[in-house]
Amino acid sequence: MNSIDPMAFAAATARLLAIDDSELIHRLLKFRLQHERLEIHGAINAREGLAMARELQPDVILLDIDMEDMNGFDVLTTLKNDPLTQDIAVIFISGTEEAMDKVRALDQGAVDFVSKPFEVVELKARVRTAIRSQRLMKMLAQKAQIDGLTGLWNRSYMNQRLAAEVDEARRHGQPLSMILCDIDRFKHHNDHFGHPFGDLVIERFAQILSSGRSSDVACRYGGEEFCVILPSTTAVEAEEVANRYREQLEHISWNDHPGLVVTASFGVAEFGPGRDTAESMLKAADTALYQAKQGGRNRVAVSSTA
Amino acid sequence: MAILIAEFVASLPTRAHAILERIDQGAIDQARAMAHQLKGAGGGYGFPCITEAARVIELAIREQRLVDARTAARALVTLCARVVP
Repeated sequence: MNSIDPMAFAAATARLLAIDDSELIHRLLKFRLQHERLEIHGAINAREGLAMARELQPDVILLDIDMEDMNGFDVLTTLKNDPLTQDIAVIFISGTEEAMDKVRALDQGAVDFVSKPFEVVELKARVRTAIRSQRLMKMLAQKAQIDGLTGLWNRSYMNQRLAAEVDEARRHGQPLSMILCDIDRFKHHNDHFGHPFGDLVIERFAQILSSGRSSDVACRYGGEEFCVILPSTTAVEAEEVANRYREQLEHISWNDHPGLVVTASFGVAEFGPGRDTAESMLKAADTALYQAKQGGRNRVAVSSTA
Repeated sequence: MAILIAEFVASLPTRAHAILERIDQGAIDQARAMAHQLKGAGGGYGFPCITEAARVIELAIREQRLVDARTAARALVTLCARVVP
């Protein structure tokens, strides 16, 4: 399950990239920040800095304005225009005292501005603040893609992830499968035993789906419907996985309702001819799920090849 | 930090002479880059006077006032000889 742990976020070592064309400044920064919980990297010019930002994905960048090969404002614009680097917190660190430079930097998306020569305690505090804010933003972004009841990824994330996995499967020729599943007679359980019980069923089923391999991606597709993306997995293997999930749900003892058996139906589809896009895979899995329902529920159906 | 400052101070005369030499040789871009580095770092090591002296050199070179740049570089050499950690 995709729990967000703020403490883990806070405790992780942050990565800092300093982009400044003075090796004297790099030595100073490394020395001054050595006792902070930081992994410090340095780039000696703007172009190297941009390349390192893409590669290292630092939490924060300390950026000089006045550099020989490209000024800091242009570097910031490039960072903000690149999806890979646009969310990195950028702190300008510059000898300029011009108010308009500070305004321009902040307007362009820098989170802070520190003047040289910098007070060390102030610089440390500003770096810590930038990292804290940046991590909170990441947590919020992640939270927006997590289903509140189950902690699984939501449909929005599933759509993005499935499209990305389809691209990977196409590029590398790796198998890819997905399972679409639906709790049988859920409306009946909900109406008969109440919504709190319905929620409990959904939560327990979500726990089962998220207990699989770490590479599998379990999502709540909506209501009582779920989806699992299984990278590097054939339909035969996905069918085995789905059957394990099916049996686990079937064997749950519901304390408040002894003897009740809750089941689910599963549709499996594998990436391949006719199912080579996220949409066509989803459609194939949905058709297979429908067949499982029509076949009597509590079963797994695999989409036949096109 | 004391070691870092001592190393910085020890390097100052060489750096200042190098800037003056580059100006005399007409290697203006190199001289400007070296002055630029000193300008950025001087204050950070606790010597704002170095930053200011280097700023004057860099500005003079940018504005192509090479006589002024040379005068400022000579002033920097004198200043750097006096600086102690």
